[in-house]
Amino acid sequence: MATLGRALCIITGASKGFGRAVAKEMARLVEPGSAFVLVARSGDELRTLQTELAESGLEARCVVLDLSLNDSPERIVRTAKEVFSPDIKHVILVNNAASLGDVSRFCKSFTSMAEVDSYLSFNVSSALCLTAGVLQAFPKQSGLRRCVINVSSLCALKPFASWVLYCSGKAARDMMFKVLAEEEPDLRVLNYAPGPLDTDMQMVARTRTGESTLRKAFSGMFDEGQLLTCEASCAKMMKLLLEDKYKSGDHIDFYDV
Amino acid sequence: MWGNITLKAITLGRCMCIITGASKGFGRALAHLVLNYLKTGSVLLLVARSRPLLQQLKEELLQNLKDMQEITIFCTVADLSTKEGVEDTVAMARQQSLKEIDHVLLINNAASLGDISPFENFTELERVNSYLAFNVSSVLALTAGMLQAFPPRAGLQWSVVNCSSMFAVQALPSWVLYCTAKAARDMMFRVLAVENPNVKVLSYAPGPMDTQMQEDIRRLTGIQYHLHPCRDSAAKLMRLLLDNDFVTACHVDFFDL
Repeated sequence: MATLGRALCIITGASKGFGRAVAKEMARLVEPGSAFVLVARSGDELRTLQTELAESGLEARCVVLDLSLNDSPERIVRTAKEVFSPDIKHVILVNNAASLGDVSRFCKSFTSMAEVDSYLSFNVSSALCLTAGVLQAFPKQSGLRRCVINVSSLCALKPFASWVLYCSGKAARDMMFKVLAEEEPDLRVLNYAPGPLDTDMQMVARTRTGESTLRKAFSGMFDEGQLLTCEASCAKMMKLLLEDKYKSGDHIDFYDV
Repeated sequence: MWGNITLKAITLGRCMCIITGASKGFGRALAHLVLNYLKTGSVLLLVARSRPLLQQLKEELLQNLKDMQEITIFCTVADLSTKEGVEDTVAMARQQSLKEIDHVLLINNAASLGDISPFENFTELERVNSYLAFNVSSVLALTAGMLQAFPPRAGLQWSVVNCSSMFAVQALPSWVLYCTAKAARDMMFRVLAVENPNVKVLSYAPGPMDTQMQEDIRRLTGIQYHLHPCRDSAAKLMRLLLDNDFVTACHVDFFDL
């Protein structure tokens, strides 16, 4: 399959980094009549992206909000329903928005429940609630393909010192989407780990990571030009989506493709 | 069967032992069993929400003390889904921090099943956040608090148990909350272990036991597992802790032993 068809693409964290690359790449792979819902906290960057997509003849709506607020999932779903049309044959949700948490600190410093709650709310709960809302809004129906993507990480599988929040959140998400894959065999669920990307998030990783060996490893990757461009990783993810042969619920890393 | 074997005269030493969810089920069985292995001078801190059940447990334990076995038993009535509950528990433990202790044993047992329901029903952030607060955040905050109250040092053995589940590793349809939280916890404790080589961490999956939680599972799902007595699973955990030759941060299941 050379295209993603006429699709409704919902992408969180679309203002920069991997999410932005996904939006742009998907825009090239969808057919006319497709629509995008771009979600992030920063309106300016989203609107620039919206304009770019409009230049390709694609409708894009911006939803500017903090994903961890109670009414956020519903606001996104409402916008998605507004741009949906019966001609659309493919709904794709990309759960990309994420945060590192404070990677300068170690487990024993996380005595504040509020801090951990807040982290999990954004990185775990909001992905569950948004996905649930999208699935309810676009239920299984003949002729409609539905695909849910979780932007995962090596950290979902391997523990890293001073990264307890990020690792726990990514492990939680992988499991969450595995359960979804088990429950809904007609749904395509992909846990995609994009590899070490050259983004703002990586900059925080290489400058703030508390564990010094790890921090040096990250900055080493940056210095040696070993970081991946978002575009390169995105291209592999698109290959997986277009070939559509992956086993639903599987964790697939950039380096596995 | 395990409960009837006379085990070797190995002890947990002069131990500060904290058990959450101690009022019933697996936690209660552990409290009874652990008592046999606490040397004089040990402290047992039992945490749960029910004052009457904790009080009754304390009385039973006091009656079961061997001659000359001086153990201090405290009950903390705390709701661990709240910051106050976690802080009160840590404060109670901290009062004992000047005691001559050679082993801290923290058993993170308190947990809840959550709604067993199809994935797409979980559209409300508050409900999901509340579940993760109790089952994930409180465990990290409590463990962090205890590590600060009893800093690991030479001469102080430190053991942390994460009461895990087969469903930390295996996805089960309609169990998204439980699976997600257990997966998060297993990873959290793997990070803890990487950061603290002098803390032994064990994720122990106790198997299906004759508890209220299993009764709830049967009622909600209609599924009846073959149940094992709590004390049998507690005995296997005890054997692991006493032998202390498990690899830190490994996930061990009742059925592995």
